[in-house]
Amino acid sequence: MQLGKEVGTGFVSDDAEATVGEEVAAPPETADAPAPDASALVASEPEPTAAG
Amino acid sequence: MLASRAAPERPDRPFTGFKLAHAVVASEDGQAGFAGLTMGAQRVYGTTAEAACIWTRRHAPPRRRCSCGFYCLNSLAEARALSCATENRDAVLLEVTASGRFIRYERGLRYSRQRVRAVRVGPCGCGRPARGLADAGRGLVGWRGLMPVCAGCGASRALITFGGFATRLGGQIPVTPDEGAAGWPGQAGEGLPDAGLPDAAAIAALGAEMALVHARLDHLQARFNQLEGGES
Repeated sequence: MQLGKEVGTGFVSDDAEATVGEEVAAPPETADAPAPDASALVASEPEPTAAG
Repeated sequence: MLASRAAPERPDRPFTGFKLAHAVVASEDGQAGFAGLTMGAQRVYGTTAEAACIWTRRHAPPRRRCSCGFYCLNSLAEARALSCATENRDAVLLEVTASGRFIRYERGLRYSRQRVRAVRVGPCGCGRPARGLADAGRGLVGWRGLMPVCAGCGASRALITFGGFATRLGGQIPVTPDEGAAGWPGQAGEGLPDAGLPDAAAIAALGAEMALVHARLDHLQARFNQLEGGES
């Protein structure tokens, strides 16, 4: 899976995970933030090629 | 390395991503899960999972200069495009919530924690919409690999319905046909008369009739041989 160049790193928690077993999940494609668009940052890391 | 100098990001909400995986079912208890396509092909994960590096336990995924971690694409369309590749034709499309440590790329993410939110099943290999999942003829130790099949191709095969697969996943995840997936450019069977499905009873009846005809031919041949013998 070619993902392109690295544009950022970080950490994000999934607060909904703790309650997902107790309530109906939110409609797909609306509840979570979409992955942000690529920024102008350019990394020298090799592009990942494998899917996990 | 500009990216490495950038401040770590702390988004308010986890990411939504799309990826492909092979649907699998446990041979012992029927529990469902997913296996990755390449690096993660030998590991089965459930609806929530924490990534582990397959190379070493000395670092936590995802790590730069290693290929570990879960992967997903930002775009549903790109995930569908990936499913056209020969090696991915049997895969199902997952909509996931990606969280934990992450490395963000132009087209997707590598990340440490994953929650599957929806499973979309692409068309059968014949081009018709899938109606369930059948044994794909491959698997891992303890896990049978599944593939999408339509009603016709799955008529004589053991089939796990979408509802059945959802139940085996724990009943919280919708499993549906991927209506947006482009099948063949035309209708299935377009331009050809519908031959219908093979009827097991009809095949059995035809077999019996053929056996009867063979017996009659043998009988006629024997009579013919007798007549020939009488004349000589």
